[in-house]
Amino acid sequence: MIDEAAFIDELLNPKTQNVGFQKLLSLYKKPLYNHIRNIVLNHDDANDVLQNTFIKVYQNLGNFKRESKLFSWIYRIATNESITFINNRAKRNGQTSEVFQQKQIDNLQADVYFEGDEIQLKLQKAIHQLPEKQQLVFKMKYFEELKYEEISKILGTSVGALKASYFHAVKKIEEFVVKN
Amino acid sequence: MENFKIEDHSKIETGFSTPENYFENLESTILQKIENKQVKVVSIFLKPKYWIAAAAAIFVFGLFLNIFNYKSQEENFADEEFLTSQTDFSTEDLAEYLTENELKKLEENYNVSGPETTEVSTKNQ
Repeated sequence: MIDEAAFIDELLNPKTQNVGFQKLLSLYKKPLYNHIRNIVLNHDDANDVLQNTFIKVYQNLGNFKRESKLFSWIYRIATNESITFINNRAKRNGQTSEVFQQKQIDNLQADVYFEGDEIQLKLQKAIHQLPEKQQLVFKMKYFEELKYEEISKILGTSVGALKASYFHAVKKIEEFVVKN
Repeated sequence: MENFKIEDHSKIETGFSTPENYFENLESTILQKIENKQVKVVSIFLKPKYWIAAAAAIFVFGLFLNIFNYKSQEENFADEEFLTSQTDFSTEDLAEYLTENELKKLEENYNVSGPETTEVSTKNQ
């Protein structure tokens, strides 16, 4: 694990910023892509949101407060970018974001970059029946295997509330899978 | 399916995949975009179209200033121009617009009928 304070120094110093940012890219590109892809579902959209996220991170390095961890700050930007993307796209199509996301789920089977089997597809469908917050918590805990403490810092929700959300999410998903 | 428990089931992956070499090429794509954005920010002031637009704006502004000045000059000099252009506007005509008192004052001020004037006029004769 790299030294967080030294890494932040490297990112904030104009002389070492570019080298630091390249390190940040190689460290975060995969986990951040997965995080975004889990929210927006489609590869092309995930690619757009991921690139915008990194550009935003680069442009706002100067505003980074050391009170929060770099990890949670970057994940927070990525989460906001993903949700904003869905809302904007839904608005452009004259749909609610729920209807838009349902369409994305319906298109999943035809997506060349989705190779899931029956249970994987069913799980995706089950997740998208949930309220937005429960979806986020479930994806971050189950797929991305983040700790409750980490999710808490990203979403600004208490660990207790996150555990309750995850519990409800799991129950509803299990019911959905049995029924369908 | 009769019973399904997520915790009992083996881990179900997302099923998402990416194009070949996606992550290998991603870094250079992003760095390129950042570089382009930085260049764009600086180049706003260097692009010829902005210079042309600025020059055009100054020219139009200058034109307005000129027209404005010309108009106000026209207003200032309108009476004088009128008087000079009216060559057949005689002293008698002018006197018609003045009262007795005003005429007297004019005579006193300019000493029209004073001894000096009379002297010059007699010499010339």
